[in-house]
Amino acid sequence: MKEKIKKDGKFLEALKSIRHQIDTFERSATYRKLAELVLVESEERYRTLFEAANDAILLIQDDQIIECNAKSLEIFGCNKPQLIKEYPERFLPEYQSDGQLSKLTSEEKIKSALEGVPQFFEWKYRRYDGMLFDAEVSLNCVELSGKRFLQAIVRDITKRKLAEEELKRERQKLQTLLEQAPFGMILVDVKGNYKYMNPRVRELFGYNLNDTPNGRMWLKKAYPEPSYRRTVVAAWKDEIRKINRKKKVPRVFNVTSKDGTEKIVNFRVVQLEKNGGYLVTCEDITDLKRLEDELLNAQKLESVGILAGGIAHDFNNILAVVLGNISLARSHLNNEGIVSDRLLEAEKACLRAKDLTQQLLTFSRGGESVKEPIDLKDIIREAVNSVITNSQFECNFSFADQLFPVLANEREIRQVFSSILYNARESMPLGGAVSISVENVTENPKDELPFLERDYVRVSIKDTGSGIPQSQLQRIFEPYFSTKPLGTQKGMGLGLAICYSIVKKHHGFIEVESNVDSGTKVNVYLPAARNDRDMSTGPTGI
Amino acid sequence: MKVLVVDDFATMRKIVKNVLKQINIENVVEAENGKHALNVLNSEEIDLIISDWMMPEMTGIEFLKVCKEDDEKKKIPFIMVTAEGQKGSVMEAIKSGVDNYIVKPFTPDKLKDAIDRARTRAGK
Repeated sequence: MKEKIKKDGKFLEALKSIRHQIDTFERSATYRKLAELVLVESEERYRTLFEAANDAILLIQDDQIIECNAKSLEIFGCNKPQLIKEYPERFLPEYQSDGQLSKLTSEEKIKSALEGVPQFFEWKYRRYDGMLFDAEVSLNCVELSGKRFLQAIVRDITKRKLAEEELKRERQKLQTLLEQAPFGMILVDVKGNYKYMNPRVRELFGYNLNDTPNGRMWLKKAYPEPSYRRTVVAAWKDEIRKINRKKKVPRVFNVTSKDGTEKIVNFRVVQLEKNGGYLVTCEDITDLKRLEDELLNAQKLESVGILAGGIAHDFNNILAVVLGNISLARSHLNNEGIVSDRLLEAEKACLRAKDLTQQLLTFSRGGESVKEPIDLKDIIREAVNSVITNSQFECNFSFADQLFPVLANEREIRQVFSSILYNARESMPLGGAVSISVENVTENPKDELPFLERDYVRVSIKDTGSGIPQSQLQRIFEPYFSTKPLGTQKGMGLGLAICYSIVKKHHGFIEVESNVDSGTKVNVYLPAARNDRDMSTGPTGI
Repeated sequence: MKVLVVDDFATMRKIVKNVLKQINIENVVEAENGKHALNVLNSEEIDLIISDWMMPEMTGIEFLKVCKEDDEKKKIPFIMVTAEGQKGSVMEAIKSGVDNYIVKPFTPDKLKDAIDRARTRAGK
């Protein structure tokens, strides 16, 4: 035990000696130099960090800038003496973008930061030369050597702001495009949910995102008829399958709008990005289709006319011989007896054949008929008297006062009204009522009618007959289309086609409204003969 | 009353002749075309001309124009028979001074009516 203490005593001695040596070393110049070196190195490291920072770093004490880094000088556009000792307000515009006084807000933020609540905000600064710039600012309270300073880190975000504004403008442009586009646009996600509909879609169909939040609801509402809906679904599936093909083929469907009207719509679909959904565009081509149909109809009528014109001459010559001989044969029989009766029937058939060629000739482009200002009242009354002969029919007239005369060929116009009245009679086998009203029209009653800048006289003929199904309504002006049994004496399918052709030649138009069981209304618009040129009588024949 | 019937088709001439017979006009001269008809007019006194339109050598409208340019011949009532039924051709005949026209095929009554009106118009 004693041995150990002895040894420990020596150990302590040794320790003391080492301590002494250390003290001596610490007091030596070498040590001081080394320590200074370490301090300088560390300070330099921080200084480099401070100076090389990509943001302006400012130290503020008692509302004065006391230190700043190189970036600060670049951002605020000045040299160090211009910045140091300067009040930070020197670099603020009077007002910020939100309309607040810079000074007021700035004081609040500084106060909060000094109370230990770091501040982070976007701010507008004024460079030394007065130019404004946007910045992101961070305010912190720092303690150095027991003193409290305000550290401000300012990042110039002018470029970012510009880019953001550009993006905003682009977005707005896109928005305007979407809102003002003349065709409908629907954004659909991959699950079939409708994400956006532009106003045109609502305008076209009346549906909004609440009515049709997804494809399923759209299909149900836009195509209420199940079998047609199945066709549409199949077409869409096919379209999605072939979505990546280069050449886009528009799909045309008949869409039922919210108000029940049907529109012919041209659809196109593009995939936005992989799994990013689809953009569906829709364009209302109802009017275009109607015009196309009308053109097609006119062409059909014209071809019938050309054919008729080609054969009319020879056909009439042959008929002349047939009819002449029949008439002579009858005169030999003194127009008496069974044989004469049979011949009379044959004679009548010849005259019908003659009428037919005459009617077909009205389709041909040539042979402009002679038109004169005529009063429709008498013509209509005459037509009614010749067609509505049965007491089963009630006929009501309503003629407006001071009706304009119309510029028309009397014979042709009489044929128009006779045909319409004939159809009305046929649609009421058990009798009914025909209401005819005639009035002047000086304004376009419906925008869709191709009105010229002139006055018209409208003749409305309404019956209480069986009406025409909607599906057939579009075809009634086609030659050889008839709702009556074909090939019979009742229906040649030419009556309304001829009416259409005649009215068209008179620069008028004809429209038909009809509902099954509630009857049909035909409106004929004929140009009024109102100016001096119209009123002068043309060649009147013999 | 003497009527000149001009038509290249004999059956048609016969029909017209028979219709005329029904209204007691039996004095009828026939011609096959306009040229032939002009020869007849030069040699005979005619009270009424009924002429077809489409004929070889000289058509009805050519014949009509020659007649209406001649001081004497233009006094004779002229009825044009046409199978066209087209307003354009009728207008041409009217402008050339035709007194009436009739469209084929026609009944005897129509022809009688046309003759009456043509004669009234020509003042005969």
